Amino acid sequence: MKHLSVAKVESLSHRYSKDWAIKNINFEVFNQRILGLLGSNGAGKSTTMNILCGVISQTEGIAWIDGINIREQPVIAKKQIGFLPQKAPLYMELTVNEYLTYCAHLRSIPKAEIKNALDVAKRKCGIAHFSNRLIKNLSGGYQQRVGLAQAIIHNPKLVVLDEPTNGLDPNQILEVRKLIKEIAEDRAVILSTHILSEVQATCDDIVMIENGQTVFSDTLSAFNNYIKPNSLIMELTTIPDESEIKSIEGVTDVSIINKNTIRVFFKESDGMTQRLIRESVTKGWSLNEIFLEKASLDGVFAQLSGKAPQNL
Amino acid sequence: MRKIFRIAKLELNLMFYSPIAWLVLVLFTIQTGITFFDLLYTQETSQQLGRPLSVLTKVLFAGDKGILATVQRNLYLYVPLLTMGLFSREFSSGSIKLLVSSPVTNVQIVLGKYFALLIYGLLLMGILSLFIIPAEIGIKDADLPFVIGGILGNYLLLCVYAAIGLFMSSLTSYQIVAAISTLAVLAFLNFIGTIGQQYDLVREITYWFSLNGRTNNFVNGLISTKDLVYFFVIMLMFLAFTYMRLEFSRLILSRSRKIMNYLGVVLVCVGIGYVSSMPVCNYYYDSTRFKDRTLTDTSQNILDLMDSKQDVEITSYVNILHYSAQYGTPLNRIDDQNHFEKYRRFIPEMKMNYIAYYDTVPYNRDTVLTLSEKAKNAASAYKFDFEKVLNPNQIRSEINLLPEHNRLVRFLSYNGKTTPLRMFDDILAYPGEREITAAFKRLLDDPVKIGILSGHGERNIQILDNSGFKVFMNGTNVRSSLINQGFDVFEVTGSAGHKLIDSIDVLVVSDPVEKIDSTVVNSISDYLLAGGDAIFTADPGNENLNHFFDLLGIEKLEGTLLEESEDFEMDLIQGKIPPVAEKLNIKFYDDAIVTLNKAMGLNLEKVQNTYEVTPLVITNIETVWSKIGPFDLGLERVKFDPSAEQKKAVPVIVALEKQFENNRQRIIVSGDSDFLSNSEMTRNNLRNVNASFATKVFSWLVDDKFPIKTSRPKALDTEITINRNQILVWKYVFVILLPILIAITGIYLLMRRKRF
Repeated sequence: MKHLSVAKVESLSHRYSKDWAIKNINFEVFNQRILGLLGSNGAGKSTTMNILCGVISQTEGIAWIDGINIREQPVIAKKQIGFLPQKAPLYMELTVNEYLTYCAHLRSIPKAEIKNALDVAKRKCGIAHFSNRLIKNLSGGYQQRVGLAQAIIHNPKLVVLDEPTNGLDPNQILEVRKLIKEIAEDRAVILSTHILSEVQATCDDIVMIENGQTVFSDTLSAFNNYIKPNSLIMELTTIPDESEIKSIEGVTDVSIINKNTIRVFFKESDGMTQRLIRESVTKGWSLNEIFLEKASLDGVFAQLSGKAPQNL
Repeated sequence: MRKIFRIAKLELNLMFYSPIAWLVLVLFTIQTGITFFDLLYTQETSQQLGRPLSVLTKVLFAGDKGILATVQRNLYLYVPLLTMGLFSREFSSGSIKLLVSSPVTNVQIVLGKYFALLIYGLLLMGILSLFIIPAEIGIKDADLPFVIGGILGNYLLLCVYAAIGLFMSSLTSYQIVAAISTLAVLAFLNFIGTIGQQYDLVREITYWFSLNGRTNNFVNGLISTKDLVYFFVIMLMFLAFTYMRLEFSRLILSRSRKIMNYLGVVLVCVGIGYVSSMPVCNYYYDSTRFKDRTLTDTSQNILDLMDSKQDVEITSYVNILHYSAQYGTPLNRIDDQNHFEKYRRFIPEMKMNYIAYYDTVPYNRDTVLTLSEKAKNAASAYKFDFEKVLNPNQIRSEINLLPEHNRLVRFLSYNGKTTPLRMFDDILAYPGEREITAAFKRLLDDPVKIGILSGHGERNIQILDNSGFKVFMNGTNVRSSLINQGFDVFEVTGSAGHKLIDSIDVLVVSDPVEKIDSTVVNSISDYLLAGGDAIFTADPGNENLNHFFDLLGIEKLEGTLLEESEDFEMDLIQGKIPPVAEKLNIKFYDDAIVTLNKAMGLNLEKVQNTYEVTPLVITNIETVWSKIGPFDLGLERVKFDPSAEQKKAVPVIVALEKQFENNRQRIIVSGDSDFLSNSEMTRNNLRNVNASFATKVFSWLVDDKFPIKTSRPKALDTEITINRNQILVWKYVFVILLPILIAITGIYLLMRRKRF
C-alpha cells in the first residue's frame, strides 16, 4: 500500500548565530508510518522539530505540512500538527480535563466536538480514569500520556514527539512505545531519540542527523543492514598466530586486544561464529568466550559521522 | 477572538488556582478599607467638634490620603505579583511550546494574557467601587462622577503597569527576576521625567514619558486626552514589545535588527505622545461637580472676547541672581508652565517665552564676587546656559525691570498691549485665576484707574511705612494689592490743566496733613460734581478735608474713638461690619472685624438727604466711646467715664451712592485712614479682615469691574450623615467581613482542588 506524504522538508538549514545548527536536511514523512529522528545530543534534532512545528522559523529551505508551507501559513499548518516537546507542556495546576479542553480550544476544535475529542484522546492514551485528577498529582508516565493526549486531541495528520520516553521507567517506556505505535495507525509520527533500541523498537523510517547534517535516511530494515555487526571478540587461553585466524573462511582481519583477547573482523556473519568455534576446538586454542560485537549507537554514530563533514 | 478569550480564561484560572490572586484581593480590600474608614472616622470626629468639614468626596477619595490616591501610590506593589508569572512560568515549565506550536498567533497569546490581567484589574476596581455604597449612604450629596473618574484613572494606571509587567515577564524564565525588573521599570518611568530637563527638546520627551502625576489628574477630577493618549500609548508600546519579543524568539534576527525594531516602536510612541501633548490637540473633561479643575465662567467669558488668540504671549523675565529664579529655571520649566495649564486649555496657541538675565538685586550679602561672577555661579547652579543669559546692559536696553525689583516677572501681551503678571511672596507664589484673568481683562478692557491725591502729606503708596497704603494699593509682590487685581494705581496732583474726571475712575484723598490749595480743591469739587467716584479718609483733628465733607453733607463727630481692651492700645478700634453692608456685597462672618486706628465717628443726618447712605463699619456699642478733648495714651491712663461719656455704636466708614445721569456716583467716607494702612494690612496679632474688606469696597466703587470674581458654588458634600458607630460597622464589613469572605472562598476552592 502506498502511503501518503504528510510532511516534507527540503534543504532545511538553520543557524542561531554564525554557525549552522542544521544544514541541508531533507526527508519526507508518510501517513501511518513512524519516522525516527536519530542523533546524538546537539545534533540538530530539536531544531528540526521546532522548525517543523513552527516554534522557530528556518533560515533557509522549506518545510511543508500537508502541502502547506509552515513559514507562510503557520496558523493553518499548525492545525495539522501535534507536538510533544521533550518536556511535556503541561499546566500542573489544572486537571486532565481542564487541560485537554484548553488544548482543544487552542487547536480550533469546534465546541460541539470537544467532548468527543477529549474522550477519544483520553481513551487512546489510557488516562480516561484520571479525567478529574490534577496533572501534578499524576506519575511521570501518566503525565507523559497527558502530553501525548494533547498532541493527538485535534486528530492532526502529523504528530511530532521529542524524546517521548525520556525519564520514564522501563515499564512506562514499553507502554509509551506501544501507545506511539497505536497513534501512528492513522497518522504520521516523527519521533526523535538518541536511543538506538527505541528506533529499532518503534520506527519504520529513520533519518539520522549528525553535526546538523543527514547521515542516513532510509527504512528501518535498511538501517539494520547498515549497522550489522562485522566483528566478534574471542577470549582464548593461548592466542594463535594471526595468519592462522586469517586463513579461516570469511575472516578479513584480526587485531589483538590483549594477551588473551582478539577481535576478528569479517564480511558476512552467517556461520562465522560456528566456524571459529569449530576451528578453535580443532586447533586447541582453549576458547573461553566468544560473542558478536553489537553495534552501539556510539559506534554507529562514529561509523556514520565519518560521512558527515566535520566543518560546517 | 475565541482563542484570546480562552487564553485569558486559562490565565485567570491559573491565577485563582494559586493563592497569590486571592492574597492580593484580601490585602487590597483591607488596605483600602482601613484608609477609607479611618479618614471618614477622623472627619466625623471633626464634625462632632463642630469644625467645618472640607469637601468630603475629595478628602475620602482623592487628595493626598484618599483611597484612590493611596491605591495609585501602592498599585506598583501589587501588579508585579500578578504579572511576574505570565510568561516566565511558561518558559520555565516549557508550556510555552503548547502555545507556539498551536494554531494561535503571537498577537492572540499576548492579548489573551493581557486581557486576563485587565479582568483581574476590574475585580480590584470593583472593590474600589464598593466604597461608593458607604460614601453614598454616609455623605450628604457625594460627588459620584468625580469618584468614577478617579477609579478610571487608577484602572488605566493598572493597565499600563500590567503591560509593563507582561513584557518584563516575557524576558526571563525566572518569576522573581520578572517581578523585580517590573518594579525597576516602573521606578524608571516615575523618575525619567527629571532627566534632561535643562535641554529644551529632551525636556518635553522625557517629561512626556514620565508616569509621575498622570493619575493625579484623573483622581483629582481632570480627564484629558493628553493623559488618556499617554496611558494608551505606553500600554500599546509594551504590548508591542511583548509581541516582538515572542516574534523574535521564532525568527532569528540580528541584534541590531531587533534593536532597530524596538527603537522604531519607541519612536512612533514618542511621536504620538509629542503630538498629543501639544496644547492644540488637547481636550478635557472635568469630572468635579462644580468644575473646580476648569476656569470659572467669568474667566472663560473674558477669554472668549479675544479674537486672535494666537497673539497671546507670556514672556517671563528671570533674574538668575534673585531667589525667584528657581521658578524660572529650565529644570522647573514644565512645572512652571503647568501653572498656566487651565489657561492653555482655552488658549492652546498661547506662547510662553523665557528670558534669563542677571542684574542687581536689592539685598546683596556677598560683596566679594562681581555681579557677572555671581551670575556665572547661579547659571551653573540653576543649569542655565550662561551664553544665553542677558547681562545687565542687554536686559536694560530691552526692558526696564527696576519697578519690578529685578525679580522674576512675566509680561502678558496681546494685540500690542502688555501687562505684568507677578509672583507673590506668599505660600502659593504663583498668580492664581483671579490675578491671571485680571491681567487678561486689563489687556482687553481699559484697567480701572485709581488716582491717589498727593502733594499735601497724604498717605503715600511708595514706601512701606506704617501709615502708608503701599501694601494694599501698590505692593508689587502682594497678591491682594490693587495693582495685581486689575487696577492701575498712580498719584495725581489735582492741579489745573486736566480734568480729573477724564483721567481717573476713583479718586483717593487720604488724610492730607497740609492744607490743600484752592485750585486742587476746585478741581476735586468739579470731579465730585461731575459724578466722580471717590474715597475720603480723615483722622480725628484733620481739618483739611472739611470742604469735601461739607460738600457731601458729612459731619464729623467730636472726639477720638477709644475702645476698652485688655490686649491692645485703646485707640485701636475693632470695627464691625453691619448686616446692611451686604447690600453692597460686603459680607463677612458674624464677628469679623476691621481694625481702625485713631478713628472718629461720622454723623450721617445731613448726607442722607442727598445720598443713599450705607454704614460699612460701625463701632462696638459695648466697648467704644468717644473721648473728647486732648489726651496722650502714652503718658496718661485714660478710662471711660460713665458720668460724662457714653458708649455707642457710631459709623466710621460709610458708603454714599446716588444716581448721576446714567451712572451711579459712589463715594466712601471714612473717619479713619489706617484701615488701609500697611500696618493694619499686615497685622498678625488680631484676625482682621481689612484686606478683603478694602478689596470689596473697591470692587463696589468700580461696579465689580475688578477684582475678578472667581468664587465657585459652595461644596454640597460637607456633611456626614451616619454616626461613628455606623462608621465602625461599615469598617468591620470592609476590613474584616469582606476579606474573610474572599479568603474563605479562596481557601475552599484551593482545598477542593487539592483533593483532585
